[in-house]
Amino acid sequence: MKRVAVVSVGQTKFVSRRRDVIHPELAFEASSAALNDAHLSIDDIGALTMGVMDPFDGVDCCDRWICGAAGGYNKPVIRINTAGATGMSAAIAAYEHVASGMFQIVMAVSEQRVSEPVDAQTLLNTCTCPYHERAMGGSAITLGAIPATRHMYRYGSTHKQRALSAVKAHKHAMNNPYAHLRFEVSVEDVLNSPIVEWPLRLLDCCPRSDGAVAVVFASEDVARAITDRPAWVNGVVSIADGPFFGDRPDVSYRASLAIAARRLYRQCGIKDPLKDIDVAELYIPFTSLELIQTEAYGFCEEGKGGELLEEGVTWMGGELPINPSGGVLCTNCIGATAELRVAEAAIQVMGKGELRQVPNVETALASGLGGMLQFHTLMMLGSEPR
Amino acid sequence: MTSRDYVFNDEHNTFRDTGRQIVDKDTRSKIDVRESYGCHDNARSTMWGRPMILMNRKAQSQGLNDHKGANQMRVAVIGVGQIPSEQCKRDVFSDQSALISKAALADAALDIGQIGNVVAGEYDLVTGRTAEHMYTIPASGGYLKDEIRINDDGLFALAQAYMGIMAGQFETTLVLSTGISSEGPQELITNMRLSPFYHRHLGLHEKLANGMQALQYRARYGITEQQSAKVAVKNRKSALRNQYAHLRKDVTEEEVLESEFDCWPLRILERAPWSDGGCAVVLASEPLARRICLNPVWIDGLGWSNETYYLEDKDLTQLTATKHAAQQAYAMAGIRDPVREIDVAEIYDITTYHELMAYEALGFCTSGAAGRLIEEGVTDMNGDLPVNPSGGVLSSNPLSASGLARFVECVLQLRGQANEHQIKNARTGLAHCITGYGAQRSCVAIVRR
Repeated sequence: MKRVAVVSVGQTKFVSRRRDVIHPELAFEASSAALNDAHLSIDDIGALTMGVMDPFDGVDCCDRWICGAAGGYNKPVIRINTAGATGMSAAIAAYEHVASGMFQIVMAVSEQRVSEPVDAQTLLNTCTCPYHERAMGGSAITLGAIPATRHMYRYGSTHKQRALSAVKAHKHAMNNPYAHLRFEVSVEDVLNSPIVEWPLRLLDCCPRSDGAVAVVFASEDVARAITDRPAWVNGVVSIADGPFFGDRPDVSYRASLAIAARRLYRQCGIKDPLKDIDVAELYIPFTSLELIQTEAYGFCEEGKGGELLEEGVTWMGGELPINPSGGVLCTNCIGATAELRVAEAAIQVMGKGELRQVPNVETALASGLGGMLQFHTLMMLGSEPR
Repeated sequence: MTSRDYVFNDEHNTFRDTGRQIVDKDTRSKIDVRESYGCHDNARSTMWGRPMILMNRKAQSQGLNDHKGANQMRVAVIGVGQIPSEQCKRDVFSDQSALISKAALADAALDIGQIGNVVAGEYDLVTGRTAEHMYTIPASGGYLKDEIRINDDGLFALAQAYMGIMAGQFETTLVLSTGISSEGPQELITNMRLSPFYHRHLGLHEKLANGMQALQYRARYGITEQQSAKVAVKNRKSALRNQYAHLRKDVTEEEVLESEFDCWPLRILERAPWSDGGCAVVLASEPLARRICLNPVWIDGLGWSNETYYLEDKDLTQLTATKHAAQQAYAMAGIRDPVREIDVAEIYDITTYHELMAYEALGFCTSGAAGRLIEEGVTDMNGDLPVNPSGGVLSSNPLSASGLARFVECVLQLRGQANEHQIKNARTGLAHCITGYGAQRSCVAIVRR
């Protein structure tokens, strides 16, 4: 068993529609950026894991098309797909490749072009159960809307509190040259934007982006030789909940997410998450999920997620900045989004964040959510190995 | 102590209560569980409550670890399960997953609470859904467990599960593959896997690409139709004795050669059918397997590889990915002479020609000599190196589970539990799978008793 570190990351600029490149070229951009970042050549890479979610690319099993360009020609390649958590699962798989001692350096590459399907939500509807849920038209936005309503009812959170999450994300994204949506919004802008699915408004929701991201994992034997400040993987967790939304005890509090977080904290020896974690890159495609996640991760008490936002604890300069990159609300390339969280968390630990850098990061948390709020993946990165 | 006597409490691993109670219950039980006995939360970082080093040292003192370095852990297969392959299963596909997982767990004599994580190997779209594992993983018992889904054949999922255990992340892993191919038009779905600019409009699908490969292979090496028919006869005859096989009907060489063309030059009896079925494997780390399993089968070699996607860019007559995967697996298992050292091989014979091509790629013979190998009967049930005693993919092809099914059959052979299609004294087995256009990806696993 080996300790594993992230030694380099690469990402493309995220936009609504990349007209100038096709899928393999997009993956190539990200993987070559990651290799250049660490001065590695493709021959140094022992194996690849690919994270692509079908069928958003308009091509089934798109990884087979792109993995050659990503560097997987005549190399071991495993393709991961766990819905929204795909990218993080690919990262976890790459971590296991290295931790098992079978490979020294492994690259996880995730790519997605969400501009390909005419309507992504129709595709997302096909992941619901065809007998019970599909006819109701549920989609990803439903996952944000129902918990938002329930959270307001149960804990008295307000539209304004959720709007702050969007304001924060867009403000942070101004510092990130790779982010898709780069404009500042005010609370009024959010509250006056058109309703997408009540109570979520347009600015409460994530965009659809094209882009790719690559993260290189290396074992303890070589990590320090590659980079002076690797980001050590100190804990990984994933958890599966049941598929039926109606079966959840209460959608406003994600019990399975809390369990996953506790398992992770136990692995990393974290007692007080708010103090011990320096920065978090969370999978927040809808503003309501910021409240739910901050509560489940123990950053605040249950039901107090809105107040945490109001107090400014999770803003840049606060005690625990969440999503200094702008997060999913500003960039969402579905299969790659969760890996982008790992990449951004690693950037923070490695101190390469430039404008979006949080000072003195020793511990960074990344999260990924997938399915009908069903698959949760968490990764803890640190400046020192556990 | 038999494996069935090994019982422990899995109370904290079963979360039956609603949200708030879970929190309290878990916090409270944290201390109890850690102190009382080995059932660990989510199977991470400690081995059944004891530090890993102690366990290894114990195994070492018993001389059990002598095959490799003292710290080199192995991974054991402690249970396998499968359901019979059929043309069309009537139940919901997630119900199949539950049946498969139950069968594997019963074989391993474990309770679902004692499983650390679930690794699924399934394709999307084949059942008309995206994110199919949303249903199969919870149904197989993955609720509130660590999960990951490999969007490829189940044998790749096995490789990932193997690495999870080797990484010290888990003690026990359930690898699951549910193959339902009756729900969608598979030709259309595989056509969707082609790049939209150059390939899709050709109307290609994977079966056609297999036909192209077969044709080129036949032309280059002078493989005859009779040699190809012999493969079909051999595998279909073996399938008669396998109660899980889909097509259980003996065919003669004449019948194969007279059967209709499916996609030229492949005839209906020369290519695999579409089936519904599935299988699962329970893996365990070495120290645990030694304690709870009477007949563990060890995964000694694993290799997988990927070659170019573009059919026009590669030599279709060579299974290059298989060649690379086999090299990796043989190196890991220390195999130098495959024909002599391997007792039984389960090969992914999506067509009869692919079985022949695999002989060459796996090093059973030199390039172009596979035709002679089948004529001499080397790969017959009674030959030197029996291939596909289960009937192979030619007899049952539950999409995405076909590769893992090869592995399951190998394990049954090594344990001596293959009933009517048992090979005598099988000690080393090889399982192989190929996926994608022109066998783009391949995975090879070596198991030993």
